[in-house]
Parts: sequence; structure tokens; C-alpha cells
Amino acid sequence: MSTIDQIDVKVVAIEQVAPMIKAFTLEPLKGELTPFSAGAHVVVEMDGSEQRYRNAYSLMSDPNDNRQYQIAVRLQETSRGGSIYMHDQVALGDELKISPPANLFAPAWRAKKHILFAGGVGITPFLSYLPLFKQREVEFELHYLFRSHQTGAYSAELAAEFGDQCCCYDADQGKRCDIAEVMSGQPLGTHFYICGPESLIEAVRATAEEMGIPASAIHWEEFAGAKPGLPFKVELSRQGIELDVAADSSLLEALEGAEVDIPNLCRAGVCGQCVCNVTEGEVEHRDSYLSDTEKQSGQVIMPCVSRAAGGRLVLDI
Amino acid sequence: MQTEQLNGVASKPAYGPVELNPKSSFHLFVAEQLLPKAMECLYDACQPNEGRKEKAVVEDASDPELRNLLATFPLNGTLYLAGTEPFLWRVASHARALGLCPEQIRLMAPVTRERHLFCCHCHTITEGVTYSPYACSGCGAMLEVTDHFSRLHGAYFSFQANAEDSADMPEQREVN
Ligand code: FES
Repeated sequence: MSTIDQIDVKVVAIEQVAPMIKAFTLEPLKGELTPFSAGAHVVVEMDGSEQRYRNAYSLMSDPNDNRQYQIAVRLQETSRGGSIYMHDQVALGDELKISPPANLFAPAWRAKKHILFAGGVGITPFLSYLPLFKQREVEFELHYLFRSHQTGAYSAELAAEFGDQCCCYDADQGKRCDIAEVMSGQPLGTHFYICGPESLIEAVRATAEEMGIPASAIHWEEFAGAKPGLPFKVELSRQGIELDVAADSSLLEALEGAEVDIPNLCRAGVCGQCVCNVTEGEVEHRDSYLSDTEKQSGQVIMPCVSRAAGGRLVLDI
Repeated sequence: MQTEQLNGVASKPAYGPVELNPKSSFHLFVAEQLLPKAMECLYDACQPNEGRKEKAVVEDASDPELRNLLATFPLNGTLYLAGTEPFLWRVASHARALGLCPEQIRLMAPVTRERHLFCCHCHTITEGVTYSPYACSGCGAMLEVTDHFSRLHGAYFSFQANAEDSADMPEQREVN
């Protein structure tokens, strides 16, 4: 990502919207923000003391509002630190850099009905869907699964605003969502969307498969991002340099740290932008973009999430 | 030359063998004329455990009867189509508009290789075309037939064959 594309923003509000979730309101330092499409995200750059993090967060404000953007960050204590930085270090009035919005999770507007499954902080992209659903008067249901001791932001407001169209399931109150029941008997042209942990995505996809619901009617976004792994070395054969990739840093971050610009959009192994050619070394593939054949070939890697399987990789860069 | 480039466009649909979708609760087989043998076989092979199956002959892709059949189509139904290429794609596009996903619509190879031509000059669709150039039934222009296929119109894009030099009419060739 070239830095020219980045937008300088200022944090104008921080709100604790659930025990583990903070919402940040961002305003541009100058000019206006662009309107975005429902489901879009931005990559927020954070300059930590030891390393620079770049995490993707869904925009949850009204897509037509170009005065400010809102994101929500769930504290992930076991992750590599980006969310801890946002929770502990970022204060009111701080300046951050964000990428322009990109969208890998837009509603399928041809659908006759939309069914949304949100898990915890996975509610965020759907918050940008809802104003448009309302405006276009499309049929939808929101199924919101959370644990009120940790997540569940905006559940009361959503329930109040959308009534029967919004079902809340608080696992801390013992309320469970019967996914099969939600999905059965839905009319032709229904599309399903999932944003949440992998287990929720898998559960919905498996139910759809079981019921014979077409795979192209199921849309999901994981809020995974890079997970830590073992440290390794990477050699850039064309540039003739060698870099260290630390355990809690992604390969993409290591490359960016060395001023090697790699195009990227999702930083979660989904969009395919960051693909690099591998000339030596084994890859531990963690993306959901490459086909199995491509993965087996061992010739390509998605550096935003994937790592070396051994101690060393050589990339054709 | 322009023509060769246009003919290199790979939007011409390819038709693979059609398989039944065992997970469907409703299987609808629709043919333009009598059910072709391949579709009869498929229909006979279809033994839905809990679901239903139905077959229908519909001459017109916009037939209200077909619309009725599709109106009650379940989310996990599968539509199998046989007929000429324009028929297949017109029914498919109605079905898409009603909410069917692409993988719910399974097309058997067209029963003839006749094409519908879309004339880019007068927008008339000329039917039953098997060779190129071919006279447009609307404006009379001799049309070069391309492999650029519009799934929406169920027709192939075509344009005046001798547009640059009226004396330079390409030789007639068959199109498949
Ligand atoms: S940035 Fe999207 S796959 Fe790597």
C-alpha cells in the first residue's frame, strides 16, 4: 500500500460499547472522507513502540456520512497486539493513518431477502448494511450472537430499532441460536451473511450444505487477520536482502518494515492482492484465497497471513 | 484484424455434462420442445428421497406457466433446462431475476447450433443463423458473426462485415 493513499484522521470519540469492545470515531484532518459502500473496511496503521501494526476494521457508520467513520475494536488478548494498542494506547485527539475504504463484503443486492448472522464484534459490517436496508425497504433478519460479559455492542439499540427483525442470543444468559431453524423454510432468493468467528462461519456453511442451499448464496467475512507463529528468515532474491520475521509479526508486516511495498486490501488472506512468488522453502498456507493446487505447488504465498513452514523462505522479490 | 480479435472473445458458453443435485428438494426439468433423450434420462435417474420432481415443455421462455412454476420454487431447488441456446439463456435470466443462484440453473448443451444474432447497428435479433456473414433481418446489413455472447439477450454480437471497404466481403463460413 503506498502511503500517498492513506488518509490522516483524528480520534474524536472513544466509547466502551461492550466490556471488551471500544468504538472509535474518526474525522479527517482535512477535507472530507469519501462515502463508502456497505460492508467496506479500512486498514488502520498503528505505530507501536516496537513495531507497526496494520489491522483491517469494518466501517460501521452510515455509508453516506462523509464527515466521520466509525470502527469498533474487540480486545484480543492473545493476538499480536494491534487491538491491545487500540485499547490501551489510543486516546482522544490522537492522529492515526487509515487506508481508503475497500470492500470485500458488500450485500448481494439482487437478493430477495437478507439474513445476517453476527457473532460478537462481527456486528460491525452489518451496522453499515442496516441504514441501506431500511432506505431500500429490503427484507432482512439480523441474528446477533454474543456474550454480554464480553461483547454484544448495540444489542439493545438494535432490538429497539428493528423489533422482530433483530434476534439477540446472549450465550451468557444461556440463549442459543438454532441456525438450522433460522435457515429452513426461507424463500427463493434469500442470501445469508456471516461475520464472526470461524466456528460460526463453519456452522452456517455446513447447515447450508446439508440443506442444499446454493453455496453462492452464502457470504462471509472472518475477522481473523494474521495469527502469530514461529519466527523465520526470508530472503528477497532480487533485492539481495534477508529479513527476520518475528513470531508475532506477519511476513507482510516484515516486508513493509523493510520498505518493500506489497499491494494488499484485506490483510486476512481473502482478497488475493498480496500474492508473492516463492522460489525456495516450504510454506505454511493460512489463507483462503489460493486453490489447493496452488497451495500444493509451493510456488506462491499470501504474506498477509501465511508463514514459512521451516526456518527460511526465499521470495522472488 | 478486428474480426479475429472479436472472434477471440471467449464469452461463448461452454456446456459440460449436467448432473443432478442430490441435495435439492425440488427438481424442475424444462424443455423447449419435447424433452430430449438426455433430459429424459436425467429425469428418470432423478429419485429424490424426500423432494419432488416435475417436467414441463414450454415453448416460450416468457410463458406465464413457467413463471408460475418458478414462483413457488424453493431455495434449494434445481432447474434443468434443454432447448435452443437463446431459450436456455432467456429462461435462465428470468430465473435469476426471481432469485435463483447460478448453480441452481443447469443447462444442457443446446439442441441445435443455430444462433441468434444481435445487430449492433439496428439492435434487431436475427434468428436461426448458421453461417457468417449473415443478412440482418432488421436493417439488411451483412453481419459478421462473433463468438461474443450476451447471456442477457441470448444472442451473439454482430456487426457489418464489410464496414471499412464495401467491396471487401469476407467469404462465407459456417459457425458452430
Ligand atoms: S492482503 Fe488480501 S490476501 Fe493478503
